[in-house]
Amino acid sequence: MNFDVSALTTTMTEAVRGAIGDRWSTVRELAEKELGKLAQTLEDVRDLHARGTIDEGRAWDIVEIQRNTLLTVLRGVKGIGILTARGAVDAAGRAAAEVVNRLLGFKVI
Amino acid sequence: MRKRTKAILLSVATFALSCAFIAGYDPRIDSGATELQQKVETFLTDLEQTAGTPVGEYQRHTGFYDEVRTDISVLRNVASAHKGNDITLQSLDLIEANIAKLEKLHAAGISAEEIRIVRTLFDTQFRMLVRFENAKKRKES
Repeated sequence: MNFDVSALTTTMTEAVRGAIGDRWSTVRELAEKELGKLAQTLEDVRDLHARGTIDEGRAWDIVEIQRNTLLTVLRGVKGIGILTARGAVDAAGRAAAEVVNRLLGFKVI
Repeated sequence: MRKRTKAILLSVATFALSCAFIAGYDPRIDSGATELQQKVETFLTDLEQTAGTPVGEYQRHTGFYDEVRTDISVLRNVASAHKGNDITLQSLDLIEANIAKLEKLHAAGISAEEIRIVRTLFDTQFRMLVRFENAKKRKES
C-alpha cells in the first residue's frame, strides 16, 4: 500500500497550522513546502521497506531522523513566525511610542 | 495621571518584552551553521558514491563524526551566550541527535538509497536553521 503523499502533507500541515495559530499566514508557504518534502521522504522509506531493502528496525531508525527533522522544521517555522509577528508588533510599538512621546512632550520611549 | 503613568509603563514593558523574545543575529552562528551544512552535504555526497565499498566503511570516517560533534558544540557555546536562543539551541540538539543516528546507520552499513533519504533530511534541517538565523538578520536591518 502506498502513502498518499499529498494527503499526508495535508494532515501534517493542518497539525502544524493548529500549533502555530495566528502566525500561520506568515509561515504557510515555507511550512507547506518543507512538510511536503518530509512526506515524500516518508514514502521513500516505506518503499525501501516494502521492497525488502531495509528491515523494520532500520526503517524505524530513519523515521526517527525524520521525526527530528520535523521537530527542527516546527521550531524554525515557529521562530520565523515569531520574528515576523514581532516585526508587526515593533511597528505598532513605534507608532504607539510616537503618540506617548507627543502626549508627554518629551522622549520617554 | 496615575492611570496614564500605568498605561505608559505598560506600553514600555510590552514594547521591551516584544523585543527580548528571540536573541539577535550572530554572524558566527549563521556562518558556522552554513559551513557545517556544507561539510555534512559533502560527506554524504562522497559516501553515496562509496557506500558498500571499503572506502565508505564506517571505520574510515569516525573522525568526521567527532569533528561534526565538536563543530556543533562550538555553535552551542556561541548560541548559549545569548538569551532567547532556545530555538537555535534546540535545532542544534536535533541536528546532533540526527548525526548520532546517521553514525549508527553507517556503523551497521549504509546503502546509497538510504543516504539519499538522509541527505534530504539533513538538508532540510540545516536549511531551516540557517533560514531562521537569517530571519533574525532581516529583522534587525
